[in-house]
Amino acid sequence: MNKTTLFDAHRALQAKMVDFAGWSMPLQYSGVIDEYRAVRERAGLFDVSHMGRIRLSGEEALPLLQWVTTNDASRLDEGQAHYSMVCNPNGGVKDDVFLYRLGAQDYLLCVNASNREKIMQWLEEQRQVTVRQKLTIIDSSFEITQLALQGPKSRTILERLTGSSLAALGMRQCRKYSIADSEALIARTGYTGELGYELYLAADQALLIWSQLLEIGRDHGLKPAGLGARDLLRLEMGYFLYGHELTEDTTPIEAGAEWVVAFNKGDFVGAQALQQQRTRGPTRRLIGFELLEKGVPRQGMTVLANGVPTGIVTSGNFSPILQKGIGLAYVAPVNATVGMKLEIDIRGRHLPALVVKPPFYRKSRNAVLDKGTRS
Amino acid sequence: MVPGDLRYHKEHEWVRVEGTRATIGISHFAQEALGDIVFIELPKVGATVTAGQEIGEIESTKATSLLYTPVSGTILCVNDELHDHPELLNQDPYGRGWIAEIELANPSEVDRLMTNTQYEEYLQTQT
Repeated sequence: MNKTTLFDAHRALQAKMVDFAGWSMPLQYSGVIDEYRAVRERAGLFDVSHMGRIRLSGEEALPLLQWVTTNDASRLDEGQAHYSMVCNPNGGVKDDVFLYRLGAQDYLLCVNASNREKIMQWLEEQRQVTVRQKLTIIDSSFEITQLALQGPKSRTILERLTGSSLAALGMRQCRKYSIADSEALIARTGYTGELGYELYLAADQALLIWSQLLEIGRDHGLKPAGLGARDLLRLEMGYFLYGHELTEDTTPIEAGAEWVVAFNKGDFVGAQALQQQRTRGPTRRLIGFELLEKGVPRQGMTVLANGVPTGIVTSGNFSPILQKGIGLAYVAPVNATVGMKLEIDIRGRHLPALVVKPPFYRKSRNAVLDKGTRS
Repeated sequence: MVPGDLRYHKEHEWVRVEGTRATIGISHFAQEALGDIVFIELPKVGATVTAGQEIGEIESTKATSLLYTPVSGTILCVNDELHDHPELLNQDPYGRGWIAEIELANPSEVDRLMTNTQYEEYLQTQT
């Protein structure tokens, strides 16, 4: 089992640990909903070092990335990042990734924990297939610790840590800052839908910075947050989780993520299959749904339209902010229209569900939180 | 966190007996293992239930788990407050988080359930 550099710190905070993709990670500290609320209302600090961090550098880093990822990496300026996917030749998703351009020929590819080794292997393989010598591919996952500081107070807290203003750091931008006498990469990215940052730190500095953030954050209501809160936050935003909405057998077209596929950038792995599917139309589509009666949908449950099975739930939970069951599901395209009524089979009970367009949660609805969840 | 005046079932439900009536709920251990409880499907009032039978579901932010009745009988009433405040199951599992009251069909069944000491020993095997 892999442990992050902060393993002992999590234990000291009495986190409930869980095995996630071969890593022992905090599932929760004070409680999933408590941590969730901290992130929506104030700030939460996550150890996300289980994610894979792959450095690609050199003259041919960009051409390789253009070949293996679906988005157009040539549009990234230095200090900019975007969401992208790595597809197989059938258009199935090998991984969904965040790509950061750190320098002129220097990129950081942030991949899912469960796919790190697979993607490293795939990059090496594709580099050989395309005969690209002029780049280095390094798995730096174990040398870099990755934190996510998320929530409306995240900027204030981080500015106190760095001693510099972060106002100029726009969405999906990243820059190096000096923290505690060392250099850290700070990116305005995240997985919660809130204002937030991710910090890429030298592993030997991580414990110090983790502790300092918790210390500074105390006055602002910052709480350490685990994978439970992270999953709830991402689901409310309709963000994908690899292994649920995305697999080697599902495509970005089916997932409704055509915006990350740059068909006009030149050839790339999966381009032909994806183009074909786009033209013909997929045989299933990802939808968001809200339950109209009380209940909690879960992965694997059957979705029905007028009593006839039409698809399957990929993620589901209870939204604290909406006070109802929400989920994502693949269904036949004919049943994927927003506003349509479907049913979810929850252990034999067919609960009515409404097809909605994610995100389930929008900032303007924030006020509901106080009414809905306090006892 | 294991009150002495209750009896316990292996699925972590508790029973408080008064005459021929029993109140049931889930133990502190159960609520802690489940994490934040967000929804409970309560048994139906008037239903006849048999010890060990599934009578409802408890949903937490982590998972779904089934609710079993430790005793046989008829459901007299349920704690409707849990519909709007399922968190009571976490906050006060032996008090305001009670789940249902059952008219016992066979009061001697209770003797087969664990005492607090036995349950505490049983918990040692669960972690």
